[in-house]
Amino acid sequence: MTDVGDRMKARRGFTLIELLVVIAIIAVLIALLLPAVQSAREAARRAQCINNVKQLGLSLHNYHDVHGRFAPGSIQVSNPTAYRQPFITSLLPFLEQGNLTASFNFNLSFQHDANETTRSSRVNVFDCPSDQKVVFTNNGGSVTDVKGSYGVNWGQNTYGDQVLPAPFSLNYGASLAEITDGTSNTFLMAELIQLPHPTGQPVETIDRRGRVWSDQPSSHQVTTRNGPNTQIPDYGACWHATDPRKAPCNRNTGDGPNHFIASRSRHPGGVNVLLGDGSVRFIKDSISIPTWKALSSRAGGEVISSDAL
Amino acid sequence: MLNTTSRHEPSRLRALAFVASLGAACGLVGCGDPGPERHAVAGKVSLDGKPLPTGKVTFVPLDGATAAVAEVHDGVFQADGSTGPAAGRYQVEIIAVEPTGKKIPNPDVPGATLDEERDLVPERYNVRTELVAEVKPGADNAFEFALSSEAPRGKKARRR
Repeated sequence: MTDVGDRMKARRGFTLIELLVVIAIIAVLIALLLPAVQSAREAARRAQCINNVKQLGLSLHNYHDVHGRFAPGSIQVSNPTAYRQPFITSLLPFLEQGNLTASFNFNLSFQHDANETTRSSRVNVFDCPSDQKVVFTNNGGSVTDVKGSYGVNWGQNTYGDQVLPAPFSLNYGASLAEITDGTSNTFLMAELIQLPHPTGQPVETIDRRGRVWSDQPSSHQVTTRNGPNTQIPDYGACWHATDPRKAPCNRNTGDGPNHFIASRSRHPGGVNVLLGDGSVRFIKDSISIPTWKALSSRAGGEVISSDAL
Repeated sequence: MLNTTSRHEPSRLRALAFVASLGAACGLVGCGDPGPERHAVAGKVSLDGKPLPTGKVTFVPLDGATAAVAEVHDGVFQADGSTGPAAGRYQVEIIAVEPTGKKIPNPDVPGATLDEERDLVPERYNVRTELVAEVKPGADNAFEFALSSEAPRGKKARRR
């Protein structure tokens, strides 16, 4: 009897091997979990970003309710006096930014000193949480405006050549009736990344990409010439060395009509895109270029299979 | 009994540690897809018979392959097996941007100026490219692009 009792006593507790097995299992679980936690954070940021895009969609539709068309891509008038106004100003009143709208003088171009307050105020909806927040500075820092993370659909090729008409262009925003491809088969806005001023370069060397307070080419006019997050360089007033892997660039400050920038984001694997019906889709980097181009035309008559997105 | 377990302990422990570290390494590094195999490309670019001093050659995939960019120096470009394109058909876009020496009004800053730049290569070799190339595995993938700044005869340059 005592013999059995002794053996029972000896068996109680954990052996070294059992402990090691448990530790190893825990180690494996942690190894699996660590990257998962980080991607969960990114998933949360992406969800917030999707909400921003949705808000922009609602504001565009509210704009449409009031004006009968979507907001114009940019406004440039040369007669009787030169006047320039970017896309974002038209949306401000519909993003609950009535006070910011009131601070903007619509008789003066957006670059006028009187409009500095409006230009340099951040509107949350225009910043994707996955992206950095960049202030566009120029002229030694005396001219500033905030960049944004969302651009408008500017067609299939370049700034000056949309190939098939897109929902937005210079002095033009489509009405719902003009989107004959169907609002759920045409996108209105897509993501951009905000890029900082080229390091070590003089103030005149600008990187315009992500600049929503601009009416110039290669600032926020997304074309579907190249796919989302493409490795093919953007072409325009950008800088090649800022982020060569994520945002490659071929710089040319002239030849404006030939400029093009692709939709880019900091999310892994794709970009958030606002469709004309107000819904938001996550478009994968691997989308086929013909489908991506078909999505950008508003009256191209293409057939888009829903499994191609 | 006790003796046998203690004899097996070190080998079992080692196996366990091995499995655990393998799992940890895989989880931390990520067992990713290395992507398609890229191939080295090289070639020459000339404009009106003269080698293009500087510029960039971009391989834009026609069938979903991997894009690639190669820089041109004195009419020669090359990309090695780590940066070159994957096998497939490509549109080739060639640009060579240089300052014209003129100053233009800076559209981003009222009152300031900007160095004007322009692309030496006509649109039909970049934005509206007509150049195509096929990258094949195992071949030497050498390309020669003889560009001309004159529009081809009989065809008027397309206007925007």
